[in-house]
Order: sequence, then structure tokens, then C-alpha cells
Amino acid sequence: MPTLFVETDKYYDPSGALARAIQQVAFGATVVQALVTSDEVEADIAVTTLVEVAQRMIQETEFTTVVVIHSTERRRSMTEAVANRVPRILSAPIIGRDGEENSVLLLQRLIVEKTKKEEV
Amino acid sequence: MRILLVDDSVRHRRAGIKDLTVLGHEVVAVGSYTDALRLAREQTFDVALIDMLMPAEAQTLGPAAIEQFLGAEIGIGFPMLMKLALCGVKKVAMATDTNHHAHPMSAAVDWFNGAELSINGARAIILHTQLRSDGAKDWARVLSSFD
Repeated sequence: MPTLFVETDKYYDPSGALARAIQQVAFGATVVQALVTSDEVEADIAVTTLVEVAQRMIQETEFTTVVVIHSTERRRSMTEAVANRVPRILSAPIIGRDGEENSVLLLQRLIVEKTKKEEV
Repeated sequence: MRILLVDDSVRHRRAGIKDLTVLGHEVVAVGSYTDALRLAREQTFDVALIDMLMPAEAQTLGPAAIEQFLGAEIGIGFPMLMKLALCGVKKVAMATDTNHHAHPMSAAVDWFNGAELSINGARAIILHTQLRSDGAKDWARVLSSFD
């Protein structure tokens, strides 16, 4: 079962409701409390709402896929630009436009892909 | 010696911590140049071993600059080398494992080719580094360049 670490920020997720919702649903992943454990085991997937945090997560890990959820158009262009540059960062809107893969669909897809990799 | 190790690759940092600790040194390793400069201002280090190409960080950048630069690899090692010398670190080595055919900043490292410079009274070396057999940067060998 892939592992999932969530760290949202107080500006775009002031009450922590988004973080709690992701952790509760988890889409089949196991929620972990640390991005990297003391014995250097990395979470398979990390979720955040800020590209700056995503960058720190990339610097602290070797393999973790980092998903940045954006909720405004301004953050969308910034987040997508960074995601296009950094291989392990993916971006998704919290609610997408028609036909667009939103954060829920992206997380579901990632977790299924990582589950399949484990089974092989 | 007390060593500040700065490399955005967690793999290179882990290898450096292991190799340098075995040699008896105390190592503080960070993946962010913003963190590195803050530590250098707050603490005392005998040596700094730094990467050349690192992802651009947000720092004081506005939204447009973040969109354009955040995460892009920049040759931050050069100004970092000078700033660490200004912070009082007496030995600073900047080492890259990027092939000099692959990036213009790595090609520029050829200009120095391990020659020792003096910056603010600090010994500074700029060089290409060899890799260990596991592909991680050989920071112990970089440190030995000061011998």
C-alpha cells in the first residue's frame, strides 16, 4: 500500500480541513505522519498547497512524488510552471475545469499506479 | 572539523555525511542554500563543501519571478562560495558532478580546475568532483583537495 504524507499551509487551508479530508479519504493509501522517517523511509506521495513547500519536500527526498494542490488562478500558473520544471512535482487544481484532472482524480491515479508497481 | 555540506541531492548529502563522519568530522548537511547561509551566519564552521547547481528558491522573489525561476537549476554555488567566505568559513570548496558538456556553468568550472583562490582570507577551491562507485558525490575526496 503506498504511503501518503499531507502538509497544507495556513493561508490556503486555514482550518486544516483540506488536509484532514485527504487524510480521511486517503484513496487507499496509508497516511504517514512524516515525510521521511528516522530510518530514511520516504513517503511515496506527499501533498501540499504551496510550491515552496513542494520544493523543500523534493530536497528532502529522493523518490517521493509531490502533489501541489492549487486553488486560485494566480497560484495555478505559478504551480504549473514549477511542476513543468521539476520532474517529481505534479500540480492539480482543487476543483478543475471541465475535463481537467483535478486533485482527487490525480491522487486516485497516482495511488493506483504506485499500488500496481508494488504488486509487480 | 565542523563541516557545512550543501547539496540539493539527498543522495549526495547522505553519502557525504557517511564518508565525512567516518573520517571523524562533524557534518551539518542541508539541501537549501537559504538554510546554508542562515546556518553560516548563526554558527561556526571550519569547512563548507557546496554544490554548484541548485534549484532556485523563493527567498524575496515575487510571484512572477517564482513562476519563472523557482525550481530551475542555477549556478548559485559561485555567489554562495563568496558569501560563505565572508561569513568566516576558512575553507570553502564548490564541487559539481555535472558534465562540462552538459551545462555552461559546469564548463566554466574548467577555468579553475581545482586551483586554490583566496577570498576574504578563506581558501576556496572550485572543481569537478569524482563520483563514488554508487554514483554519489565523493565529498571526502573534495575535502582532501585542501591537503
